Amino acid sequence: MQTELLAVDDADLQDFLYDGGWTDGLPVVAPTEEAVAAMLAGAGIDSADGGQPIGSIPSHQATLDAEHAAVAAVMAGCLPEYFPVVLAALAAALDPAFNLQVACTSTGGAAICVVVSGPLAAQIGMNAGHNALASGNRANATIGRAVRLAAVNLLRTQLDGTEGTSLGHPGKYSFCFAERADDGWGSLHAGLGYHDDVTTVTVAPTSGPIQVANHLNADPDGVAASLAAAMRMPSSFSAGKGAAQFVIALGPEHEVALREGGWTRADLRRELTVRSRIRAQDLLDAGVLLEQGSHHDMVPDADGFLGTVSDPDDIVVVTTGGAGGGWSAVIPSWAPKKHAQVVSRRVRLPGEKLPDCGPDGCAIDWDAIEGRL
Amino acid sequence: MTKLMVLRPDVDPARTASRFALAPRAALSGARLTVIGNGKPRAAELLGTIGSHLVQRYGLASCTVFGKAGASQVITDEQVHEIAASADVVLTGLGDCGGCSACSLQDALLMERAGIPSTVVVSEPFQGRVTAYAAKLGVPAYGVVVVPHPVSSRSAAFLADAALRATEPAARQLGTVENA
Repeated sequence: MQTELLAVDDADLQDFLYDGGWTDGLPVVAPTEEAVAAMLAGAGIDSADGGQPIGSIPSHQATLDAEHAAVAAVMAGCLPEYFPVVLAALAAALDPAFNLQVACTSTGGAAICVVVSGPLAAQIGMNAGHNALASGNRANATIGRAVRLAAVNLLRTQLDGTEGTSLGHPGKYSFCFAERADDGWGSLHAGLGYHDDVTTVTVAPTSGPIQVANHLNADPDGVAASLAAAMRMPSSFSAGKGAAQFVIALGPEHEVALREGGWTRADLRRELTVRSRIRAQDLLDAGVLLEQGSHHDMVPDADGFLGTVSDPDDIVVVTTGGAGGGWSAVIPSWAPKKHAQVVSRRVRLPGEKLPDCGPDGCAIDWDAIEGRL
Repeated sequence: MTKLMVLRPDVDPARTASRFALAPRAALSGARLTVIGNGKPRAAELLGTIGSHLVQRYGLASCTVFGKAGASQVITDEQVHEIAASADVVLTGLGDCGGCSACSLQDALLMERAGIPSTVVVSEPFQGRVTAYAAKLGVPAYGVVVVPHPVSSRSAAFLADAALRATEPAARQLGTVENA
């Protein structure tokens, strides 16, 4: 392995890692060579290949390799079979579109919300039923925690004091859940253009979830109106700024209401885009001044309204949670998408090779390439 | 007391420092964009559309497409000079396989050495691979733009959406764009 080895008395392990600034404050599992090798093997990676990069953060000149991702997964308590999901989530978070360094250092205090859609979620025992967004399931808890630990230790935000979050929220410990199996209303991964047998991970830089209660109204219009009301909460950072993204964790009761009312997922996204527009006066009444001439230009439309979402595709709809009550959650990105975007990735299964060059394959001369820079 | 050996959890930034300075970034308004297309299927469509969006959304002056000899070829020194004479920023690609991503990455790095801010468009399975190439070529954390994979077999509507989504990240790599 390439990573530096540190010697510690086992009785001092928790203090050593906590004092080093490498944990989230909860106890962690020791990232020994054996445990890290087993974690890598869970994604079909030989420990000799642990140095393979997952992605990088240009502004920090920081590159995350599989070995450090595995260290985080071990510390978080992941089982090796979770590791393909962790890797896909980290690759997505390291897509420059996600802008991880801003998501992890902004005063807004975003969590890295991880949504898993597809058959692997059930295979590794993820919870998409009762209490899906919360505690009690090993896979949900540790995958989300691993992603957070890997990001924090890549960016060194705890080590360098660059964690600028003013308040944060509990989702910054771990925020990961799965989509319920498709019962006829489509799925997140199918909506992204993937086949049924593919599993995807979607990462979103989010504020905490806003619980939406609507127990009495089974009319799709009513459900959409309740969700939209939470989306345009005037004192949220993105309300009225025209380019917010959202994860809508739709409870099964609400999905049934929409589905049986004849709405498609696209209908819901389109309606929420329209209904999340907010009256400029509602912002002013909430004490929110309208930014103008700044990078958030809040000039009301002719009807006096401001958009909150510009594109229905910026609303990620995922059905999750247990039946029995009319609950959903609106999970807003912490800032408009010019700052950081939701990103999805296909989970690559152990042993899966990278795509080849196809029929117009290209072979390159490395000696010639390296000699020119 | 038992001694444990554990792996250090943080990443040492000294291991990934660049060996050369990239071109300085500036405001994109008025900049002339050249797309160095590698001829991969649908590459011109995808990159050209990203270029058009950059012009419309960020006020770039123009978008010109330069077709290089092939996906497994790197642009020549003469071509670097030719492109640098008429471009202020450069977008290369499409890196949707191992060899072509390496070559398009190097096209971008050659343009950086010539003082032109550049970035490379790769498809998602190659994000890690292109990071490895960049490290090999001296810029371990080079900024790239990632699009879904595959590209070549997708519908026009899918590519149009992918181009739209890649525009902001491309702008962020090529010029100064505000952050939170």
